[in-house]
Amino acid sequence: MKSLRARLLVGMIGSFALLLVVFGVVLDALIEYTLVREFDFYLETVAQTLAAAAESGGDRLELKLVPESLPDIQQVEGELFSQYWKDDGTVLAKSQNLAAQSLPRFSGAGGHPQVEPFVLPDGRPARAAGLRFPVPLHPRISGGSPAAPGADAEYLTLVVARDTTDLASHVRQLRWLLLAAGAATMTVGAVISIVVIRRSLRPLHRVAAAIATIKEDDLSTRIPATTMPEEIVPLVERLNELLHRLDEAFARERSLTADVAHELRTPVAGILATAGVALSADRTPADYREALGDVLGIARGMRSMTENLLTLARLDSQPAQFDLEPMQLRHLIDTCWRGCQDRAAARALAFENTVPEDLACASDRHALSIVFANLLENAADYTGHNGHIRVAARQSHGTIEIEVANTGCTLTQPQVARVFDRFWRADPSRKEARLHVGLGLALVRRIVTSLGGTVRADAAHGEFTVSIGLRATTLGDSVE
Amino acid sequence: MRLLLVEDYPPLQKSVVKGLREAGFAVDVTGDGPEALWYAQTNPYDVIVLDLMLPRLDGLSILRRLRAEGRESHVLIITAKDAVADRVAGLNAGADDYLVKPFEFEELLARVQALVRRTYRRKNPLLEIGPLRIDTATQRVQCGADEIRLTAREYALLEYLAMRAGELVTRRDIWEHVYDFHSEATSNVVDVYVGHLRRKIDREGEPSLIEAVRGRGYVLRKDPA
Repeated sequence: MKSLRARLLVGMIGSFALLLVVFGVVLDALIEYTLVREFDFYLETVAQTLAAAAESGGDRLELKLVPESLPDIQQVEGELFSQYWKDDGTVLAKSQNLAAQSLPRFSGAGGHPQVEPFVLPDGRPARAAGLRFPVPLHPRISGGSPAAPGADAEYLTLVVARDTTDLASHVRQLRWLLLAAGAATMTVGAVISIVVIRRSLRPLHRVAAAIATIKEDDLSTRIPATTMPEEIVPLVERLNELLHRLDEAFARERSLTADVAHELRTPVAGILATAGVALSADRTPADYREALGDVLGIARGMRSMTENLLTLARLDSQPAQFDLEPMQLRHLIDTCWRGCQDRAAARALAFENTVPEDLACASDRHALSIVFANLLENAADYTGHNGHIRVAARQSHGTIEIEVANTGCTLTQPQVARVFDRFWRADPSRKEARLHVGLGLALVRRIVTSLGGTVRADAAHGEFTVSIGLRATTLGDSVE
Repeated sequence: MRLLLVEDYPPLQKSVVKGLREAGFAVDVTGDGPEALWYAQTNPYDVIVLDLMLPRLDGLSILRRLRAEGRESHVLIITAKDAVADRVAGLNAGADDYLVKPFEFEELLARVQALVRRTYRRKNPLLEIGPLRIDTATQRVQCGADEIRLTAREYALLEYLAMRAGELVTRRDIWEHVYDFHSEATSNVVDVYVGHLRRKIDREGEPSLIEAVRGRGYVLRKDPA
């Protein structure tokens, strides 16, 4: 059963019906038992009263009935049957309504009446109380002739029967009443259940309706949680949180696409203008060479940007595949610095690599090269004239801390917090022909975190520092 | 015509300057915000081509400052920002035109020339003064049926005089609208170029089309005497 409503409905109505049936059956049994008990008690009372009133004299029986002691017997006499036997089996007396018929003869032990059901000769169901009791002999009744020598009492058996047709119809009526009351209760219960369940599940429909209105191009909608029942509130809250995260992710995606398009516009404008102007007139080969060189320079800048973007996109879309190999950090950093030497020399920048010779780590050479090349290029491009670039590293507790620092930093604290954002630049303009589109540090952070390391940026006293924490490994002689 | 190019991306700056100079413009160029403002405040540019994202001072702030100071140079914004809101903000800040990067140089040139025509309240790109026919779109000059070949500087001088044909144009005007900031400042350089131009456009035996007003300047005569 997939529907929560159907499940709740079946569960509620089913268990309600079951309870009602059990209750009904028990009640019915209880009523029937009580009525029969009362019926039997009546029979027993009648039997005992009759027995107490009996006076026998040989083959004659006399009842000394005190009228007020047996009002019930008189009232219901028409339905009562009675028959007396002597111990020898001869019928001493029987009620007139029996006519030629006879009642079954039985009796309880120890002077107590015993009640048994039986069927009257005319087919009506009945119950009878049988009692064997002693009767004092009265010569007055027997006419002076002794009944038995040496005995002043004899035993008689009395069976009092009463037709149970009324009782059965009574029980049947009560059973029908019970059934009708049960059915009515059931119906009302089912209707209440349906209404309650429908009302209880309505918030779920409201949530569904609210979700249905959310379009993928506008995720700013939030489902109101205040009017929801408290069981649904966590669901709605989690859903809203998910929407918020999705909205942010979509916004990042949109702004990334916009940023990429935006950042490509300027170099494309450069190519269009350079080529367009070059082709607008007849020129010397040297002029064409110069124009082509300019176009090449722009294209190279665009290549590095697209490659950075691709690397970022790959790192985002799939778990990074790294080839871990042992390497000496000092050597790697020196290699990366070579790519920036010309630029640094033009601005008289001093470079200092204080990484210990023997400091080594196992990492991906290509990935770390991108990291340090980006850090050093940034340092080389953003450090002022006669500035300092310093790389230091130390190992502690299984972590290698590498610091790349440069002087001449003018970044404020809020700016430092954003340096790792994609396409973020402290100054959105370009002073250099090189494209600094704000991907370098984003890439650095992405690679380092993919490698399981940490990265942090600080600016203090005019010095900008990027600190990288990598897992350290001890190396044998196999290191180059 | 004198033009200020404010663009901080060196390859774009370089090629646009080259193209504009070849089209006869006297171009000053800078890639720095405050410097751009200083240039624009101290020179009567016919057109300013202004990038928006600049170091230290952004293009819109420069533009607002210039307009607040009552400077009337026509401003063409070139930027990578293409949203309608950006264009509206640019035009509402006082720009005369808005061109989104990347653009073809031809279009930039055509828009700049359109702004120049607006500066001198002309609609027709073809200037006809006496026997002279100057096509400002293609920078071709004809005198009668003869095609006249001019250098970029000579053309610039003729175009400026033609735009203000019939008016007295002082040497200072010529200096300010035909020469860029870095031109050699010698006293008679204007006279020398006017001489070059006269030799190319005047016909023998007829009075010069460019009339000298002693001690004040020159007038390109509308109707030949």
